[in-house]
Amino acid sequence: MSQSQRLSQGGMIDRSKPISFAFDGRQYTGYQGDTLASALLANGVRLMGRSFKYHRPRGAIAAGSEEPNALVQLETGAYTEPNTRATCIELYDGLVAKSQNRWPSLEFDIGAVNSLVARFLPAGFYYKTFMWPASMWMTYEKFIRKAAGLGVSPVEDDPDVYHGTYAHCDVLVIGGGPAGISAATAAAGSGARVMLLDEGSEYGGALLGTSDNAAAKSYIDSALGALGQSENVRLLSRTTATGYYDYNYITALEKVTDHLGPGNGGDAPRQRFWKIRAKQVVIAAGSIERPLIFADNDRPGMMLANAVGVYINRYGVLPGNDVVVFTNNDSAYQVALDASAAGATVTVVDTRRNVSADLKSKLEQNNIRLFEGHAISSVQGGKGVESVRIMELSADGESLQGQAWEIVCTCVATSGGWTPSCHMFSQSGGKLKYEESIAGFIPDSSRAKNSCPNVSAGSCNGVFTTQECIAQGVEAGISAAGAAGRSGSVPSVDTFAVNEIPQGAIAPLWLVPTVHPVGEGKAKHFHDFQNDVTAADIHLAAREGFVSVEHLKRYTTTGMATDQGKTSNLNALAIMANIQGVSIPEVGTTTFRPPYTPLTLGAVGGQESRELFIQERKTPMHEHHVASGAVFEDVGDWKRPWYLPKEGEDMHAAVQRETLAVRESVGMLDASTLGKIDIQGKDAVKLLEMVYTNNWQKLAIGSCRYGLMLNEHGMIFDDGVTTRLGENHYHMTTTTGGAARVMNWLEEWLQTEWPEWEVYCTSVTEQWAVLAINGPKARDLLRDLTDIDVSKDAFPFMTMREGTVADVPARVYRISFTGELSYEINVPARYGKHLIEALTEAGKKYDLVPYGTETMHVLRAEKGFIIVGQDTDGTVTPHDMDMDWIVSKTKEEYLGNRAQARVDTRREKRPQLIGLLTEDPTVVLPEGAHIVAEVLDKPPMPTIGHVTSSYMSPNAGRSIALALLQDGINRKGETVSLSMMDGTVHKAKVTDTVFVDKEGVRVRG
Amino acid sequence: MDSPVIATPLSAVKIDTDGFTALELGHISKINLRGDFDSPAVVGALTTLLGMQTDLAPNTFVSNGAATLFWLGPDERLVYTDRDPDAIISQWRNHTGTGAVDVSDYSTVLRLSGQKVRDVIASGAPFDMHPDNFSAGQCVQTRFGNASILLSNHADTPVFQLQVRWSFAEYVFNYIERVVKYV
Repeated sequence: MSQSQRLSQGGMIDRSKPISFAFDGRQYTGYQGDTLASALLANGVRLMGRSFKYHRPRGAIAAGSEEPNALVQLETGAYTEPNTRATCIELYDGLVAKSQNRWPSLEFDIGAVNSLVARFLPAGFYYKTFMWPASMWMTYEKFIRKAAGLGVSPVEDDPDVYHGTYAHCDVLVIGGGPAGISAATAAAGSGARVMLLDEGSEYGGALLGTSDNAAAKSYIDSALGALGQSENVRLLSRTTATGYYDYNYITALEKVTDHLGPGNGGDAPRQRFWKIRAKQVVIAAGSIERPLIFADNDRPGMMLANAVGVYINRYGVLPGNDVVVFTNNDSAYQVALDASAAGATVTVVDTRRNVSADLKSKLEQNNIRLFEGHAISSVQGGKGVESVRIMELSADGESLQGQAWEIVCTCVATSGGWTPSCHMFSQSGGKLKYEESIAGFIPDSSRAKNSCPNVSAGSCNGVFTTQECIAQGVEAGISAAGAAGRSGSVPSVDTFAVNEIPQGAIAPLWLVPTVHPVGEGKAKHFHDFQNDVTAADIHLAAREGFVSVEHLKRYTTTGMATDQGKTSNLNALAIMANIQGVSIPEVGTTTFRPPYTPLTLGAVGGQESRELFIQERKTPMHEHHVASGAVFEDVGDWKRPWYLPKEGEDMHAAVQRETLAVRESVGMLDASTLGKIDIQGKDAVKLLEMVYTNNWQKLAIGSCRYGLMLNEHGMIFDDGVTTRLGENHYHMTTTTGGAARVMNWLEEWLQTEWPEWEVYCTSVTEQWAVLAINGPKARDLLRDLTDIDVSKDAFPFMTMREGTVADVPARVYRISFTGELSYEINVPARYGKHLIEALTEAGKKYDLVPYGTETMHVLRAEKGFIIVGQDTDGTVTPHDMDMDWIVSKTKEEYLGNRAQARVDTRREKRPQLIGLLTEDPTVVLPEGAHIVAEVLDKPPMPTIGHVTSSYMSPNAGRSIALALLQDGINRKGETVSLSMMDGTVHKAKVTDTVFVDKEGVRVRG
Repeated sequence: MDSPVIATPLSAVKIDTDGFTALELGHISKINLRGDFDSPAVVGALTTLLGMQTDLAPNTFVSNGAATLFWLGPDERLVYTDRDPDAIISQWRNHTGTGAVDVSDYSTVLRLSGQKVRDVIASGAPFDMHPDNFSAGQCVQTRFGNASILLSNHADTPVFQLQVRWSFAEYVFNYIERVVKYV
């Protein structure tokens, strides 16, 4: 396929490197340095997609990231990415892209029928049509999404890798055009740490699209070369600042290897997400040209004037051999001259009547026809413009008059003026002001947000010549560096001039009239190409009362979707202003929101995916558990052995075996994950008295006590055993999941309420590796390994002894969560592996059985011991748990005390913890099962409680359950009904919560 | 029985690539000290027990060969010591009446060196490690990914030490191993 529109010379492409690619199944060739859009245009392809709503044929209108039309489905399979802008895709060998939003093909699209019935699909159509019945919305939604959707997301896992990183600098410069480069040069010269970001593959911004870009390139290269020398400068091309947040926190997306094609990046990540904290920001983001809005202004071949210049000068592509330049300002005249120089037949249609003599003579010298005071009245051609008709504008610009002229053309270059890119400034919290002379909003530096110090420079600040941009950039760079505390000798920055014609005296014509009133006749005046919103839709919104700019946006969807209205917003505001007869600033702007351009979610996640998404915390004994064949359970972010099946055992069999073994011989559990807090200081006991419900004043040194913690609402939020190690020294344990929460809780109270107390809390969770041994043979096993006197009298229940176990220093706590004779052996973590190996060996003669968390749950449920977070849910008081025994009647104060007296906490019929024994002892109730007051044919049934814990207990010889039941304590002995999801009803007897060893003999044995 | 093996969470694992080396140091005795570091008792105890000055600037550390003292907070210091921590702890309590806790096993220490160190750590830590802001002798408590870390700068070449909780060590190591390819 020949590159019919490729110019014989010029452009910044590398003609020695041809690149083949496929679009919609056809093979084409472009050059290194092309974008997909420029390569397609070079091959004479103008039609690149169908529009969102009416399925109208569309081509690229821009050459940069503002492109609303040329969205393609890039690549296939797991690598596919929808809605990528052809104007931003750097061409690489083997690239595969498809047009979107058409079926069966781009040339023949059935959805285009929407265009024929367009008069029935105005703005708000969906809201009006699919409102009721509300129950049908779920059905409607599927069809609407399919009909209106853009590209398709991959279903496979993302095969790419991404990198996220933080960065800091004195001066962050957003945009690498003339203003940005000079700002970075000035700031770096002042000694500042500088980051310079540019979204393009090459620095230079608008300079790259000028006819003397070769000279510009050497100017840019020399500036960049000097910047690159400084180790305090970080240059990031292909990097878009996507969001600007409080305190100069800016996020940016760097496309590291996208331009190489999928899978070709080697070890490098596909994209990198930068999280930048800058002392000062220079915004040099440039400006975006606006299209003129006229009848059928969306036909392929219609382009922004500057884009035509960029395709000619940067890519060596002439978008059309016959070009009509349609403008209301001077800047497009340069494009007319460039197109003419490239060999096109050019006609200029200017809505103004006072074109300067200088411009006129330039056109004359190049044989370019000029129509002053004229406008395009209609466009011929469906899948591409074939000709336009022009008519004279009335003096007030409100109507057309006289004879229509038809001009044959394949490209229309339109310019409605330039919109400074205020996105970043607005995102930073700054307010905009309307500048009549350029017919656009610019940053109002007097209303910037103090917490986001920045300065705008260049065309995003409303100046349009290269020399002015450079001058503003230098000034901004120096002032930003100074504000960041860097005021080295002020450097001199070279200036540079190019062939350009600035915007000049613009005569805004926000909506070009036609022979019909807007909205009548077949022609459509698009202002928002991506969302297919027309000037008529704005009129409709106004008629229906949606005049507020935010309502206008949501009603018509103007400014939404992937381009966020970069080319359309100002035109929409201006049309609304005209309708209402108010000024543009009175209409105001909608909020600029991040991201500036679409970004990949994978990049935001960065490297924190897969095993780095959440840490897997492991105890010092983990390897031993793995070797023992443990099946693991996630508890918080810890990996804990869940059960340890023997050959051929399922979970049930393993748990039954482990549970029996603990009560018959001895079992062993890794309890290292429990939270542990060392508490010291002369006021330590005061802290315990406040955070626990029971009394701690009289706890003897070396003794342990169970405690319950309540929050301010009086609800149980953690529990554990605390031991007095010394005069003013305690060792607190918490639940595994609650460790950090309890530590924060203690620190918060100490720091905010009792700063004068001398109490020091130190987390020691991982200092200790802990093995619990439980069962009748636990004492014998421990005796074999320790120098501690383990006799019943010397080492009673609820005490702690220090000594050695297996030749390493240990603290042994005689406490129990199983109701068995138990010891919790704590050794420094470095000896954890040693301890479990030594115990495993020594335990052989006692039939020591390692067990996991599931068995631990069964064992404690057999004894009616609660698990905070399972049997409680944040709405449960000690009284609800039938644990009044642990609430001090003598203490004046403890956290949660006052809440116990609240009306709701004291009301009758609160859910209370009870035991349940099913009539059929083989039935294990599902946890969460509802206890119902009355069994009905189908739900809903009145619920009076639910099961919180339920197991098959080999020691009770039957199933057991714990449940929260309204007024449960008074219902003991009653029989209740539980209704299952499948309609089955089980009967169960309400009992107390202890199922094994009700007298508690074993634990004291 | 053989004498007990002293384990570390990463078994002294290493990464050695172009521009980046990471190595888990062996077991280090560590003590967390609490108290009023302006009080004569505390000042005296530090001098007597460790031969250390107390007027440590915030977020810095000093080392005298046998011990390293890190500033963690106005009333909190961390000591790495070659001596028996139990002896120091009991003497500290006797001298000062304030808190001291053996935290030797609570965390492990990775030694990081090479040109890529700052970029590797910047991948997960929001702290500015530029030499202007973090030079040799400085330390900072920050995060790396989801892990709390104590990062100290031992030489601007650079040589950093990263202290991390035992149970987060593997996560941090995996994190470093992944991002070192990206920077």
